[in-house]
Amino acid sequence: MNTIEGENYAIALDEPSARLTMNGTLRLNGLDEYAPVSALLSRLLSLPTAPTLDLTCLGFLNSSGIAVLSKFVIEARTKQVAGLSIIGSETVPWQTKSLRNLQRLMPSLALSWQ
Amino acid sequence: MSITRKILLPIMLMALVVLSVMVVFVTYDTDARANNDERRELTLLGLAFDNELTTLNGFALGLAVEVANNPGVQQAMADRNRAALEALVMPGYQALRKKFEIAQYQFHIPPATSFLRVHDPSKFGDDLSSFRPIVVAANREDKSLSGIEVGRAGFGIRGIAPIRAHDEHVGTVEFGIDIGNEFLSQLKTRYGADWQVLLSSKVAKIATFTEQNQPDKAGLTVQSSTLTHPFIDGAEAAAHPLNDEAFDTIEHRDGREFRVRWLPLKSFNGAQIGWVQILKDRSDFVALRNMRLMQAVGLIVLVLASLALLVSVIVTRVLRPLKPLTAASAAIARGDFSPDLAPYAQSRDEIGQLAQGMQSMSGQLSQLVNHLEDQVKERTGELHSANERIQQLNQALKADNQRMRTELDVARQIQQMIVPSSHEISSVPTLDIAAYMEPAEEVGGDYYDILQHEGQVCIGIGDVTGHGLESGLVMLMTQSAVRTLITLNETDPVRLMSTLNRTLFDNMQRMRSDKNLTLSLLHYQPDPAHADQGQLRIIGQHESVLIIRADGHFEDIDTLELGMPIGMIDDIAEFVAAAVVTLNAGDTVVLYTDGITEAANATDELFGSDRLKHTLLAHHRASAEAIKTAVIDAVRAHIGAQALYDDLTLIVLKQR
Repeated sequence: MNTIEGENYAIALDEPSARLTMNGTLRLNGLDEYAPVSALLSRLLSLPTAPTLDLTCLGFLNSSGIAVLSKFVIEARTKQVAGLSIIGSETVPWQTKSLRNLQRLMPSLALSWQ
Repeated sequence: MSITRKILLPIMLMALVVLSVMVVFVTYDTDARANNDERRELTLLGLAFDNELTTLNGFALGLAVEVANNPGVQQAMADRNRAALEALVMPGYQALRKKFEIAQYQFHIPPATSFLRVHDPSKFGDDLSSFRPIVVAANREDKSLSGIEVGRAGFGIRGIAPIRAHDEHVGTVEFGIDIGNEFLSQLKTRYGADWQVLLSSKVAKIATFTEQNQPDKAGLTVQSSTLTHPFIDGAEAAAHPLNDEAFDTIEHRDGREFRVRWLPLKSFNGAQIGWVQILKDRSDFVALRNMRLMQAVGLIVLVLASLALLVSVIVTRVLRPLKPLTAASAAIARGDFSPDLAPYAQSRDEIGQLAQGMQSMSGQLSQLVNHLEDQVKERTGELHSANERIQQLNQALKADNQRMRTELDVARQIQQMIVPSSHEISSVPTLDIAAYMEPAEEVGGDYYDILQHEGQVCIGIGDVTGHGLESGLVMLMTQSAVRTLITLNETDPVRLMSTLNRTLFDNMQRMRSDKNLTLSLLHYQPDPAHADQGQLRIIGQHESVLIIRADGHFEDIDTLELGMPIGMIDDIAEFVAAAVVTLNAGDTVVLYTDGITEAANATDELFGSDRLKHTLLAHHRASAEAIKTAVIDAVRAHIGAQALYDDLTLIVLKQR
């Protein structure tokens, strides 16, 4: 299953292009509820192509979600995944600080703003 | 008006008109036929009367001629021998009287002198010329005459013949038969009608008869009559003077109705002297006709009554099912579908079709209503269970709410208990400090502390993600850990932050919590050489640290590169750095949480760092307390009536 949809959000993984897009407002309760999202993020890292995480349309992500993203980046760093890029939006408040933290966690991560 | 009446009335009216026309027509026709019959009969009776008179005429004349031709009579008359004449004719007269009513048997000698009255021999020699015109005429003209004559002796038929002897006119002989009640009675016996003879009163005066003694009317007198009460219709008589044609009248006498034929009565010389009336009693016919008429009317009434009964029965039979149908439709209108229309629906006429239609309509309506009722019941049941469910949920929600409220209360108490006292805040000699913390309704995890240890001042500010008790607990743990490390004189930035991170990370793993927090720790060291200077070392990632120099120069120290969120990853050592700032007198340092910059108004517009900067620039010369108040007022003014969604924390430090 490469898509997860909720009341206010949609997450889709396009395997051929190794691009995972997260849209909407993600406010799941705790790491347990984020498990499917974590699984999808792990799958993204297992793809042979250089993975891209597109967050430009993710308007809100709660602290659990940020923790999930941090773990994802640390996993990528551990696996030494090459060519990971994250696309964010400077107009979304939570992203400016959090995405920069992610990049600090993995300096090889290509962070681009849209 | 009921349908029965509507149908019955025109039929009855029609029948009445038709029957009435029939009766009128038949009655009229019957009358007309009867009238014709009566007229014909009266004509025949008139002829019979003429015939009788003619017969009498012939009889009287024949007798007179026979006697006049008798030679003995001729001789005796020539001789004027009365005795011989009487002897000669008396035996014959006696024989005749036995069979006939001979009123007159008289011999005259010219001009009109009575010679011998055979019927009354003792009287003779008198002159008759003044009142016996027929005698005068016969003697004068020497010829036979006959006809009606009114004379002193009465009214009757007279036959008179001249007697000749030796070619000489020697006299006349006359036979007279009276016409009176006797004659009319005979006619009545023979022909059945009633008869009357009316004479002109003028003529009647001549006669000596008084047998009827009737009063005159319109110049007429009843001479004889077969009626018990003879009469004259004066008006009709006056309307038809003598010398008129025959005519008919209808007259009523003694409770009877007569058709009366008036025939002119003429004397021997042709002059009318009165009328003969033939009276045909039509009372029986009238009675019969009236009876028939009554019968016809009775029959009409009977027919109409039967018709009314028949139509009523038919209409009632046809309409009988309508009554229950009407009642049923009224019942259906009330919502009662119980009436059974099946018995009426079997009929093949229009009413049967109506009943069928109503039956199926009633059935459908009933189904619909029952279905609706069922649905309503079902829905009511559903609503009921939904309501119960809502109440359960509500109670659960209340319980939850209660639990959350309790948790929030605890969190708030933790926050309030941990906040440094105003005494602690004001006890730093070289710094003017003002601190403000306002928890949101759902207590956030704001943290701040001001610690003094062996001449050092440590100021911490942080923000735990999320809200509520768990965030409060993380804050509490953070405060404890910081205080412990400061008390242990741990001043190395990396060790301080790493140890803090490790402690909290491990604890949060144990708690299965995914909280983390931003945390900046500021160490202040007064300058031993300059009382109005100090050094501020900043470590850890949080919001920017704002510096407003005494001359109004504004500095924004980004703390992103000074650390990592605490509790997010196990080791943050590699990410920790320190920034050092020298403070001079009048310099202001401002620390805050995102509750300040992200305070939103009704249109979701954030207070923002620009507004914060402007407020600070406007008030940086004031005391720390005044600056703090100015910022909080500005934030309050911005959010207006909106509720606080996050804790507001603000620390203002001023180098004295």
